Amino acid sequence: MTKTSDRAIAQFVTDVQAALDGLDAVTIGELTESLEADLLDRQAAEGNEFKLGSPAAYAKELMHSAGLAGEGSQPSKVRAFFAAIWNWLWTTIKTARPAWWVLRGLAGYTCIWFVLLKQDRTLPDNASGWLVLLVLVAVSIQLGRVRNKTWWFRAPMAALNILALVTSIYWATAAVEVRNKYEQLSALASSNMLLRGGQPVGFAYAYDKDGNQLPMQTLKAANGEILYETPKPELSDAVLAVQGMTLKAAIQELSRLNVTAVDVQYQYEPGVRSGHVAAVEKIHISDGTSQVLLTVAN
Amino acid sequence: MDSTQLLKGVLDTAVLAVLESEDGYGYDIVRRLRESGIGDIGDATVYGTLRRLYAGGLLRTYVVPSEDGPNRKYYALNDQGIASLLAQRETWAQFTITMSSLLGVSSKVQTEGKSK
Repeated sequence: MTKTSDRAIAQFVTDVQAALDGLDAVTIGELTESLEADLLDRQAAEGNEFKLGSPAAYAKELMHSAGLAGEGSQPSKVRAFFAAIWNWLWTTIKTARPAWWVLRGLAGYTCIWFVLLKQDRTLPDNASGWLVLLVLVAVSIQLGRVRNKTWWFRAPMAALNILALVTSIYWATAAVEVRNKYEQLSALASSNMLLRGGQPVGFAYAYDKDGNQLPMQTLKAANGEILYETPKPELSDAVLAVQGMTLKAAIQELSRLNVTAVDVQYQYEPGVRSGHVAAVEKIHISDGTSQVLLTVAN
Repeated sequence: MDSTQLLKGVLDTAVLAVLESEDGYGYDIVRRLRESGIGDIGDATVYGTLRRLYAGGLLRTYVVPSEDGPNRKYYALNDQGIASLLAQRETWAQFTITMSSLLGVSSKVQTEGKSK
């Protein structure tokens, strides 16, 4: 067997360094700084038995024994990014464990209250309830601090955690619903809408003691505030067309259109000839009858 | 029993023990390990272990220029390394007592001695 040349050893070191690609330059330097000298020594000691082998395998063995296995595979930036996020998330979760222990105690309280008393309750409303809650939270914290790794402890704890998680989700969902309802009612209460039983009233009618519907245009509160005002009904184009006619012609036309009730008011209307209709307004609709107010120029 | 697996667990201790008596460079440490009976070990494994122990703060290094070749990096125990070796020596002694007792090594040796 021929002696391995110094150049081959130098090339081997270069190849090993290349195979360590993925590690930072400082680490590669620390791993291979005196590798050439060491290999030359080994060659001198082993003589013809000396073999260099595979640079890649040598690099892998170096990294593995140096505790750098996995780093040499050079994770992509995307993998490194998600790994960093996961590490941060996991650290945060571990840091937040005490908060979970407290929440678990509260979930236990809610669960017990629901199972034993059939009451959907989140927080106590008396001293004994608060005492029970504090005891449950203390027990939950103590259970969280136990470092027992045996299955007979971990299995029931896992079941307890799942139950607490489900209860917490239910509780959080219910809390969001209550909050939404509260916001909705607050918005309604602060609005100008007419409410009854927390629901907006779309239309209001007034009736006399005999049950007959009364004409109503405006509904006022005791302090005079207008609570509701009946929208003014639309007039058909045919009714509106009486505008500009003489009063007599207008009444004839409205009769032809089955408008049975006409109120007339006279007022000064610049630009409109005296005795002619200046404006038409429908003031009431009830039981199929229409009442129209004609404004006539005097 | 596969001694390679056992060696993986105690290689750090073995390297520290080799350096306790005298500082050494890479291949020198490999050679001394082999001379002490740990022959089935790759030099890359030892070099990686040296780097890991150095990164762990148990070793210090210094470079010695060579007249007829590349410079050599020497490894030496620092105070932390010495303390770690003492602790590992204690652990190893306790462990071997436990394992010997468990395997009945001493009684078997005694029995074999009497039968002769």
